[in-house]
Formats: sequence, C-alpha cells, structure tokens
Amino acid sequence: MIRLDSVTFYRYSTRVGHLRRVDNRAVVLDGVTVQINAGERVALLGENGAGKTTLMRIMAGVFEPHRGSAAIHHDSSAILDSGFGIELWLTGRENAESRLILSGVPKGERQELIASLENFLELGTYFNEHTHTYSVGMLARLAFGLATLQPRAVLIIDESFGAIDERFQRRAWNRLSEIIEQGSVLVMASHSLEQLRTYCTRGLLLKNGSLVADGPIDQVIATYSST
Amino acid sequence: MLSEYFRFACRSAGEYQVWSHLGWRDLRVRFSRTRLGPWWSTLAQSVLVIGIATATSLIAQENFREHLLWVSVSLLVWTFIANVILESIDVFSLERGLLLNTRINELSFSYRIVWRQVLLSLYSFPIPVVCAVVSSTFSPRLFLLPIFVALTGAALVTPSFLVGYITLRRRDFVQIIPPLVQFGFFFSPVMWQVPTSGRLAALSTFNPLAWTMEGVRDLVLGGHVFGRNLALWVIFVFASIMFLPSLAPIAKQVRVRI
Repeated sequence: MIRLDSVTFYRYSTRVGHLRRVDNRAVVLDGVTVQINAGERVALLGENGAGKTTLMRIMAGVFEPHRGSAAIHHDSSAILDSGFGIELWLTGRENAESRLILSGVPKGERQELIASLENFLELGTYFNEHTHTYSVGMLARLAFGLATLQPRAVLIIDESFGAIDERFQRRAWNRLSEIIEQGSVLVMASHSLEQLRTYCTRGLLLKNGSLVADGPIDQVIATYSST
Repeated sequence: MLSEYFRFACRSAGEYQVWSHLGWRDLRVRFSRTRLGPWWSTLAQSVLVIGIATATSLIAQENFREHLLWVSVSLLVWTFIANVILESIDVFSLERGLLLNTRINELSFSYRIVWRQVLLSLYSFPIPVVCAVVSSTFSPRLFLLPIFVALTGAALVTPSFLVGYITLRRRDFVQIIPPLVQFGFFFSPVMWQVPTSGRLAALSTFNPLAWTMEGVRDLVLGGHVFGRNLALWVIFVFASIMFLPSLAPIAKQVRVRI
C-alpha cells in the first residue's frame, strides 16, 4: 500500500537547531524505510519537529523525497491541517461542494454526498452559514467530514481530533472503522497516547527525522514514554 | 527527462476543473456580501477610463469621445496584465494550505490567477462596447478583444509562475515588483503610441508589452491587422507557452520552500 525506502527530506528555509544539516539544508527525514500494508492502522509518535507531518505529507504524495523512493497509493485523503481547504467566507455546504469539485467528483454525485455529510456533521443551520462563524470544534468536525466524505484507500490524519467533542469523536471513530473495514490504511499522528492506543495497532517512533522504533502500538508507546 | 517536463505542463492544463473552480471561488469570496458583486470592478474601471480619457484628451487636445474607445481598450488590456503580475506576488505564499495538503500542480495556481483576471476582464468588456457606441465607432472587431485577452493570459502563465517563485524565495522582490509594474506602465505604450522613429521606437521593438498594446489596438481598433506588432505578439504568446515545461524543475522546489 505504502512503501518508503531510505526516504530523506531536506528543508531549505529555516535554521532548525536540533536537526542535522547537509549542504546548508536541515535534514527533516533521514533515511526512513517503512512499509504499510492494507488494513493497517498506524500511529506516528515523536516530539514536536521529529518529522511526523513531513512523513505524512510524503505518504500523501504532497512532498517528493529528495533521496530514496516513495511508492504511495494515490487514492488517499489527508487531514494534515485542521483548517485546510476551508474557505471562511463560504458556507459549510459551499466548502463541501468546492472540495468535491477539487476532487473531480461529477456534478450528479455531489448532492448526494453533501446530503450525507450534512447528516453526519449535525451542524444544523450552521451548515448553510459562512464558516467564519464556526467554533474551532465545528471547524474540526467539518475538516474531518470533508476528509472522509468519500471512501479512500489511505486516510492520513494529523492531530485533528483534539477540538472535537466526545460525542462526535465516537461518531467519527465509527466512520473511521467503516472506512478501515473496507481495507483502507489509517495513518495517524497525535500527542494523545490514549487516542493512538484506541485507534491504532502499530506504532512508528520518529526522533530528529529518524525512525527509531517500529512495532505493536503498546510497545512503541512504552519506548516513547521512556525516552 | 523531457517527457517528464511535458507531462508536468500537460497535467497543469489538464487540471482545468481545479483552477477554473478556484478562480470562480476567489471572485465569490472577494465580492461576498457586496451588492454589485464583480460588477464593482466594472464600475471602478469605468471611473478610471472616464478620468484618464478626460485628462489625456485635454492634454493632447483631442476629441474626448473619439479618445474614449482608445483609452478603454488600452486600459482593459493593461489592467489585466498588471493585475496578473501583481496578484502573482503571493500566488504561493498565500496558498500554503492547498500546497501543503493537496497534490494540485504548482502551475495550476498561476492558471487560477490568469483565469480569475480573464473573468474580471469579461466584466469590464461592456465598457469598450459602450464607449464604441457613444463615439459611433463600433466595429464587430471589438469582439476579438476577449479572445486577445485570453491568449495574452496564456502567455502570462509563465511570468506569473516566475514572479510567484522569485517572491517566495526572496521576499525583497515583494517590494520591488509593484514599482516595476508601475515602470512598465509608463515605459510601455499604454497611454501613448509608439512613434515611427527615434529612441523610443527602437526601445519598443524589444518590449513585449509594446507588442501587446500596439497589437490589440491594431486588431480591435482598426490598424494593420497582420502588422509587425501583432506578429511579434503571436510569437511572444507561442514562446511563452512553449516555455511552460521548462518550469518543472523549479516547480518541484515550491512546496519545499514554502
């Protein structure tokens, strides 16, 4: 499903103290090799700046590695930034339609998908309001709903559950479970270890851009907690 | 390698649904909660045309009515070019969200700006039509103007992308480009015509903006339709489009440097 082989990725723009530098470039990912198979639920762990989001962007096909190779599945959906793609001067409905157009969904199929999203989000009349009137939690709901609007082979989620209330989290998890049951891959990063333990079965621990642990989630969490 | 570059250029053109939608969406957002919507740009352009036509006809002691159409056509094309370049300054830095979360081709962001400006210029198109009717100089050739603007837009995708990339890498250029556009306005025959001889005529020979401005006036207002300016403009458009694949290696750096 996803195979990364000795993936190295540099950053040009800023000086980051804790990262190794090559030719005046900071090494954000340093020779990461990992394979994720269909149906796996993988947690990414690591401190801030460890390279989790960059690794997710490579898995989502947003970044290309500078060295090594990345064989990725192109039918993927990613929530890498909770506010991504949500235009604040459009309504929730218009944002949903916009996302479907950008995903290339034919006009005839859009209304049905939007109706199912409206039902799932439970935003009431807010769904037809400009999204700048939404609370942070409502925006997080919308972002989650948009990312899971269509079944995808790979679902990548970065820290997006934090602002969602507990009742909606259960609905969100049910939706994720349905997607995963269809053989999809889930890759998830969060600082909530409990959340990762609940949703994932495998863990990858990153430290300063290097993969330092790969194994069952409980074992990797234990390694992470002890470092 | 070359086939990869051409694939890159074709992929961005193939993403027409993406950039055309984003262009429309930009206009909706920009004019959201206004009563006139994009017609505000028509109104603003009308005021500019009347103001400049009044001033220049007084300075040149020409008939205001006759001057009106010439000014409206020139300003429509110039406003289009200037806005594409100026809005390209932040084409990548303002689209961090889309660039870091989707696989949309980098060139599509430049297409989006050009498309948005093509749409706005369509809203301004009634101005030259009204001016032509008022000055009793209406010709069906005026309807070639939107086609000319769209083709000029195709030529502006490359400059738009390069401006976006340069300003992304070196923020100093954000300050430099607007005065350069201003310089282009005075140095190019937007509000004046290229003289037949002299230093200015020689300099205009190498100025693509001069080919464009003189070319559109030849085409729309009745000059040498197959004249030198229009021929140079056609070469400029063709060369600029052919340059698109060579942007592929630069495009790869956009997401990394944002």
